[in-house]
Amino acid sequence: MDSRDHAPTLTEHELVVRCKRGDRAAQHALYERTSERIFRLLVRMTHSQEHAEDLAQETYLKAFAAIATFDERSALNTWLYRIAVNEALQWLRRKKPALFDPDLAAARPDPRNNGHDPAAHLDLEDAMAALDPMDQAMLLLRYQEGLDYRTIAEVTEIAMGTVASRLNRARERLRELLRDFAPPREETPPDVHPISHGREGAARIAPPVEERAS
Amino acid sequence: MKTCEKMHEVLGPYADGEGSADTRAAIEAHVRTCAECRCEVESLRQLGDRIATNAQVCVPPALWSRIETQLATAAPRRRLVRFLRVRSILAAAACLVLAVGGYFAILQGLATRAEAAPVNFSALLDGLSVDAEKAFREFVELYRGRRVSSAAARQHASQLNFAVPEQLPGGFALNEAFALQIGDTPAAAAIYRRNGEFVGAIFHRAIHPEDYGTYRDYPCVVGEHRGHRVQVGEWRLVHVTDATTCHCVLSRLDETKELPAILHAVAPDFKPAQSHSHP
Repeated sequence: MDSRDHAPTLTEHELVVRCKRGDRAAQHALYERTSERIFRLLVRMTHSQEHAEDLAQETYLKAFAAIATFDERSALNTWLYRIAVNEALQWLRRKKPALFDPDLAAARPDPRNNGHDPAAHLDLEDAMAALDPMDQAMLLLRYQEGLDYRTIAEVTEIAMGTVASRLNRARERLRELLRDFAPPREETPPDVHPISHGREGAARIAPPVEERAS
Repeated sequence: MKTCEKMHEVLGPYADGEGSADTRAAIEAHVRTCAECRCEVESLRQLGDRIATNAQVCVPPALWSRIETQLATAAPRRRLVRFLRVRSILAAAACLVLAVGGYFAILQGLATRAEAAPVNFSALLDGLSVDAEKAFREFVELYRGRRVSSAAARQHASQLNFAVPEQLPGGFALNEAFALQIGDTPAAAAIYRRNGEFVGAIFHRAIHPEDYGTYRDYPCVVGEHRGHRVQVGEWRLVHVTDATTCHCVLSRLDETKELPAILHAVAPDFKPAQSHSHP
């Protein structure tokens, strides 16, 4: 009987043990259990299906190559998130996009309105892309993936005590971007529901990347 | 107002369901009586909901096939890497097998492909928590390291900008120097000691990307140089790169204290303005 038939019923520990033996059915089962969340995170971090696919492939190849060193002190998902975030951050640093300029970005005509909409604005995805990549990752891990602060600390390898302040800073920066580049017609006083100003639909903007000189 | 200013820092974690029961109860009591903070909590929750709602993606059906194909291709290569790590008897026995069979030609082809890949630091990093020097030697072995004099190492990798002095600041003495081969390009390595304490140095062409496997490298500053660092336990693999050379130092030394002088010694001509991004 095909061992693949049994793989979906394995516990996480059994799955890991089998993956350590190189059991292809177990590797497939691990992928089936986790790929949706890993891919979703990578799409949001890279803003590209194509690049997310490449990075997801790399994530799983690295995970299977390194699973012998996975000691199960953290959950399997946490470990995979860590590899995926690592891959995405390295990719963002490598690709070195033009520095993000919110003014230019907001002034860009919205292609979905044939360029006729004069209202300059950033949508949520643009604003997310304008954040520091690690801040963006932390917001996605918290709100999209629903991780608690302790798990975010494990994934990002940031001290537990720093997670709250990093998230505070990331949220504040995101709200600033959404507020500063909100369409004028819909503007309301900034101290009241500032997050309600952004509109979806602007063209994608490359995220800023903290320059790393090695 | 002062209460609200203090509260502002904790409203984010509160809105996220974090904090102890006591902390949450105290914040809850304030939020019940403060319209501004109540509004802020609602605003934070709306922002979180908004980030969460853009989450519809579909995993490409062909993705697993791509991964499976790569796994099938990678398996022989991983076996080769494991082989290269095994020492003495096992290595000799395997050599015999290679010599007897036509398998040798296949493995040579695979080795060439492996060398063309980024510098694989994951093999080194994986072993740091067990035995750092052993892991370093295995890394050297992986890249066909030959023990040579410091002058020969320098000559072997003459296109690189580095030095292998007999002494490093802090009392580290040169123990061994190696000539390495990463793909088609020469590289070098050295081992230094101070009362049993080990420091490893690797010098490779800056054109080689670096692969840290599941480990993360962080930007850091080493003296006047911008660099990056991977940390495993108390071991740090610190890199600084100029136009031609990546200088990698493996040690337990802090990059704010002893490491800047050591870096200066192994990269004497390296000026801060030359700091380069790694591929």
